[in-house]
Amino acid sequence: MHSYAQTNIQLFNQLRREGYSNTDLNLVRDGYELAMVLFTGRFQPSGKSFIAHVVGTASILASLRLPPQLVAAGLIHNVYENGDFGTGRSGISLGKRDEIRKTLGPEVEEYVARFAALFSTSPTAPTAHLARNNPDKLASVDRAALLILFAEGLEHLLDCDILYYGETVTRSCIDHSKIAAEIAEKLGLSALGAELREAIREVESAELAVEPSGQRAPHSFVIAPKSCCKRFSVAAWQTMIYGAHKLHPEIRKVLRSLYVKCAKLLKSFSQPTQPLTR
Amino acid sequence: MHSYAQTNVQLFNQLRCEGYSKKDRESVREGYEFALRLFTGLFLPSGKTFIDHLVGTASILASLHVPVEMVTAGLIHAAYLHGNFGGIRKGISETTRNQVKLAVGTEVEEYVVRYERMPWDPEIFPVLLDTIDKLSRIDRDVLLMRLANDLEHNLDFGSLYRDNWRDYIQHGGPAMVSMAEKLGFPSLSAEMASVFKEILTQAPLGPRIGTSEPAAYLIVPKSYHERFWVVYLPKVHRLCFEILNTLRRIRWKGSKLIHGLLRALSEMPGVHGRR
Repeated sequence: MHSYAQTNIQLFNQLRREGYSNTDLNLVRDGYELAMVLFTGRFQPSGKSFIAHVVGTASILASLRLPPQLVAAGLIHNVYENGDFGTGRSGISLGKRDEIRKTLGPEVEEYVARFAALFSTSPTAPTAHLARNNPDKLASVDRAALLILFAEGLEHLLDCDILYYGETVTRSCIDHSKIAAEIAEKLGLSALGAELREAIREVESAELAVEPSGQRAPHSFVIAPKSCCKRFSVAAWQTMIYGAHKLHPEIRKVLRSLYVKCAKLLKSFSQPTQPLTR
Repeated sequence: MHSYAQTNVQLFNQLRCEGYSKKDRESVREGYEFALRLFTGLFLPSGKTFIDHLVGTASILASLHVPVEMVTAGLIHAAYLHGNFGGIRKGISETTRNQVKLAVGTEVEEYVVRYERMPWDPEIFPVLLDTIDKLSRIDRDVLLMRLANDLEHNLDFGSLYRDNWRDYIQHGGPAMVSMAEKLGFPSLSAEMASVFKEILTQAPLGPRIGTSEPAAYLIVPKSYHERFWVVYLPKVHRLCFEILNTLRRIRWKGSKLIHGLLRALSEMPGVHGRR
């Protein structure tokens, strides 16, 4: 078993041992409380709770003695994709960004937004290309986002958790982690690079301890408490979107163009009119 | 950091290392999936997810090489106390027992129901200690589950995030250590003694999660809300109960008043034939 935290108590104990101050711990505590609210009921394809995954990511960042803002960002690193803000929509938005900024500050939010942008790009994207060839020229925010990405990748490899995600995802994670190990060494984090390589070796030679019970999608899922049901507004929105996806592509095109026209019209109404001048 | 599992993946790896068969691991997996449905969204006052606590308890039991039914029971040991079956009432009922039996089998369910029914308070620990030898096999197993549960709460100083836990350890700790010894698990006994000693000498820890809940509590995902009858029926029930109590008090006071008046009237001269 690895030595990284999987619960908030273990994480706080680790931070105290690593010499983080009470102010730093309070910031991480606030990050954890936000993670509790946004990731409650969410689980990885392996069945591991999402909160344990984000705590593990933060723990890896803390072991590298990184600033507390990065550790807190590790606790909510995937919040725009997987966090439940109550809107029924995933993805980054101004409202979500404001909410994160209000709770944890603009620096933490910047790291998370940059991570979200980086996560959706391929290893051949400009930032990754720059990191491989000229790591000294990386902006500090990009460097921080890359570290979160590497920590997240390592967390998936630990305990062979990634094996439960299916062969395609496992292979992709291993390939990305090999690049991550190379970049980590170039950034001066040889311990992280070595750990990534060791974790890759373990995963490549490991087998599943127990077979999953059924067919699972290779992404996280929510299990709502039995005494709860989805809010009507969220259910209606998601049904509409799902329904729209099922429509004929031509009808979807017409609806999309109508939507764009309505949005422009509303925007023009909301702008103040220029007074007439003689 | 202790070496017990805190996630299902770690638990399955541990079971494989401890020599549990593939069939055993699959039955633990089924118990875990049932636990996910019952305890999703539930957190301890320390902020730790309830699922992690259950996995930790099962991991402690697995480290003692107990039968797989006990490990599975460890994963759902709080089903009747904190499990969310979707109804209004918590606790043991025929419906909830049937659901548990269907999910994990009769033997595991028997452990869980006895766990819930076993009285657990430092006041009665001396009695339990004296009568351990007279307990049946299944009750001894349930007692072991109770001890594993208490050990799990105290690992990583987790219990220090709750109020009055120190008093509980001071009064009940030595008895629990002796119980583990008497049950034939000296390693568990030694570990409990060491953990309790650390807890009692450790200063209160922070930072605390911002909740005043004394026990496990639910955080509902923002896209969801509790069902109408789950929220309002208990309130209506409590309101009806209070109204009934108030009416009973009024009736009792009213009848006292009437009796008093009648007595006073009867004692007056010229009433009821008295001259």
